Amino acid sequence: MSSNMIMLKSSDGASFEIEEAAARKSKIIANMIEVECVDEDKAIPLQNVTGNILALVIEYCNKHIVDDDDDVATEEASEEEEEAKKKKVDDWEAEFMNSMSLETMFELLLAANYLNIKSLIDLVCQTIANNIKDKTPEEVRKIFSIENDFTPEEEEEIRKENAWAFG
Amino acid sequence: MSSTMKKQKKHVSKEEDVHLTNGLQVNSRTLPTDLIVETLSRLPAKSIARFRCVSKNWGSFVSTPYFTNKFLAVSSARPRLLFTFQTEGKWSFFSSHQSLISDHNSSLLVVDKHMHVARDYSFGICVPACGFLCTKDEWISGGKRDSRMTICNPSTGQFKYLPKVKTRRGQVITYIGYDPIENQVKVLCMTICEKPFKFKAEEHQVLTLGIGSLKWRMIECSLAHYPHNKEICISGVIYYVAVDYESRKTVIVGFDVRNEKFSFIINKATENLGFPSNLINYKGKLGAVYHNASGFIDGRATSLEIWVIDDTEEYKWSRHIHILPPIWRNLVGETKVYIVGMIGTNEVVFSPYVLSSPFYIFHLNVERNSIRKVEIHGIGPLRGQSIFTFINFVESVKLIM
Repeated sequence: MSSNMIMLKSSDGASFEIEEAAARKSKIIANMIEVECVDEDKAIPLQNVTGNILALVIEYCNKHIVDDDDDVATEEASEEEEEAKKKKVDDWEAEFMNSMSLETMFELLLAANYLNIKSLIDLVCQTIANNIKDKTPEEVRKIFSIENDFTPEEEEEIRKENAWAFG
Repeated sequence: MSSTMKKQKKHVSKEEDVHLTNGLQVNSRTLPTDLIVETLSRLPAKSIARFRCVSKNWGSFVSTPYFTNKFLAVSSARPRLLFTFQTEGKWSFFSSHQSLISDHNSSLLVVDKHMHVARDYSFGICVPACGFLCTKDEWISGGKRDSRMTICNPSTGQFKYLPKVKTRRGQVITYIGYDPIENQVKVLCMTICEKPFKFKAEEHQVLTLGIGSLKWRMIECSLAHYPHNKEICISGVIYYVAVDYESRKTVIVGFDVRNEKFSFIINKATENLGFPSNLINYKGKLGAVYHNASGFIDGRATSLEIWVIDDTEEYKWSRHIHILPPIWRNLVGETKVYIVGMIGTNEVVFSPYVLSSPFYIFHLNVERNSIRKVEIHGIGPLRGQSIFTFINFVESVKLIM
């Protein structure tokens, strides 16, 4: 069943072949498959996702479809095995996100959101959070393109109230 | 908090009113607010406090119930260890991820520093509820008959005095609890009638945080009892061990935070519950851990009794005796420790009563019967201060209005 392959086409025209089971990680694509609007010979066009980002999404889905299958098959696995497996996934995810720039993360987040892949949204949001948690307000403004609309006095007062958080 | 924060609150109340960026362009599209919220809710509370001054929108948005509830939902899934103590006129807070000791088997924990509050006398602290801490025993320990209890959220840095309790008595006992259904935090207090051999709690009062002005309301309690400390709040009910005033038998008192009603568990099993027992949350069920050591627990302790209520209708207890591993004696040595509580289904955490340098807590896995000494790094070179260690502390960025 999982050997069914489907084609995805990115906004910049790149085509990707992916196992149906992996593609089903995306609720949107899963829905399309359910209502049979997937033509076997035609690629599904994804207008909001560029090729380089789609490649990342597919890498993620391929990795996790295997893990999901394992979960079903080894329901009675021992606690140690479960822990080892979870650690393997965690390590893979850390490695996967590690080399990405913040800009790529934001693009991946938008793609995960568009394709409705909850676990990928969670992963990217957590990674962005880890990335910005120690940043200064100035750096955060820059990252999120935010204009500082406080007067210097107002800003000073809020900084004073939260002085402990700047230590 | 300050007037700026209150002023900002009026700007935004609903999620849809907010555009948290002026247009972060990603792939020629703007990052939607809900994705920014997903990201911000995964930050530590300390980062949220620092980012309040990013812009007016951010500052007010992170105080909206929409965001604070979202943040609470995320942080509830990753409880923390909280360490708090008083020194040099300050009440200080430190915390770290609980999963580091329970899932990752770390033997070294580096703690994050939170805010501190200026305090020049000592007091006890209630087991935190939903991120909030409340002081207790200020009357006795502080020697200030007119002092008031303080409520504090170490994740926002906010603290506030509660109104004076309506009483002329010297001893007031306090508990704080969280009702997850109405999403409310309430403080329960009672005053102690201190006639010789006739100690009992009276003048039961409740105060709700977050709705209008803080006010104590008198409530009824049908069974005269004298409470002991060491409470636990499970699914909206505060439980504590007490002595029944008439029979002098041990009773477990439950206080339903939502409907503000007391219930009492008193039967053969509670009568046999040893003293002192620590109430625990065993997989969402009420349990207790009793140690046979007289007074303090230290390296000489040999076993623990673990009690769990299996049947909430008839309050039937199951009880088993856990023999501590031989290495306990060497690891704990002469350190006097108390039971902080139970993490998950089989991990008991012990904390020393006083700070030392270096400072260690002890983590016992009951199933594997393994014990670990965990160094807590980052508190500073302090020794001798009374330390309160809490498990399952949930960060909350809710402000006390």
